[in-house]
Amino acid sequence: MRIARLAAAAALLALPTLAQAQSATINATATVVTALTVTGNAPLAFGNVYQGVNKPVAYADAGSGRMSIAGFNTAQVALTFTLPSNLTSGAATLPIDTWDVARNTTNVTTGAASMAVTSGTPVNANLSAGNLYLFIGATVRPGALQAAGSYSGTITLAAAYTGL
Amino acid sequence: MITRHLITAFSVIGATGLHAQSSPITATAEVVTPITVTGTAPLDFGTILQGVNKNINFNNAGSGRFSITGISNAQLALTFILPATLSNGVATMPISNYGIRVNDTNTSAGASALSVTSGIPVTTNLVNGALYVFIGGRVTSAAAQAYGTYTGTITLAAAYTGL
Repeated sequence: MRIARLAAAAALLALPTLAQAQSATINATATVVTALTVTGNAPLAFGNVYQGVNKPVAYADAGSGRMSIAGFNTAQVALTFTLPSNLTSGAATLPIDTWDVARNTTNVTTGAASMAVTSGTPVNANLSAGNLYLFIGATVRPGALQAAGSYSGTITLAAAYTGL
Repeated sequence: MITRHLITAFSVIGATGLHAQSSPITATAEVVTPITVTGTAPLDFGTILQGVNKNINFNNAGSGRFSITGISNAQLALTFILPATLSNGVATMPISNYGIRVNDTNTSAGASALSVTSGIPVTTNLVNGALYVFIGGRVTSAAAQAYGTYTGTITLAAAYTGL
């Protein structure tokens, strides 16, 4: 009888042990893809200009500025251009405006789509095939007494992913 | 000699106890179906762009999934261990905003929200002997987030607490 009673007590004590927690794991995964690269490929070159004669360079012209972006296929990017309002030559300035910007997914101006661009304001575009090519034209407006010399300015393009 | 004396003393006490009993009783206990916990799908954020955060909701295809089986109507304590970052070598990416839901059937539709803190048990019921867990979250991608695949481990432990 004594043995039977001890066995019953042991069974009661074993219950909490059998109710031990069971566990399993899963992974959380995320893949960060290709970084964006932005490359300046060609300057916006107006060549020779004459006092008092405005000179436009269209985006499809040979002298247009060229930039390219590479990144993840189909990603959307925000493009922010910083565009000068003057070129400078020492203390002399030469106004530049009427920006004429177009983009294409291949590196040709044929079939490029015009973009309305405001300096400092992001505009979205898609990297359909992982690349985007930008063609930049503008107009310089020399004054009647524009000082002779070489004028230059800097065009900056910043790109950031915004989504897929 | 000392050992033998002790045994003798216990025997005497035992004999006294037997004299006092009139009828024995038995104590019985049935150990019910053990709990099983299975990880059935990873929480997969897929493609992440630098500087672009990404959410996966509990009902998205990429949500993490666990299943639990046990005895019907039992109450369970669930303890989740949720990482705060995913890792890719030395690079890390924060993960947060976990959204966790449970359902009696293996569908996210109609699943109930579970307020979960990593490491803190939360109780729920195994209504039909099974419980399905759906886990969403958010990763925060820095502008210069190193590219590559980031991983972390989500652990779910379950224990009976009652009926």
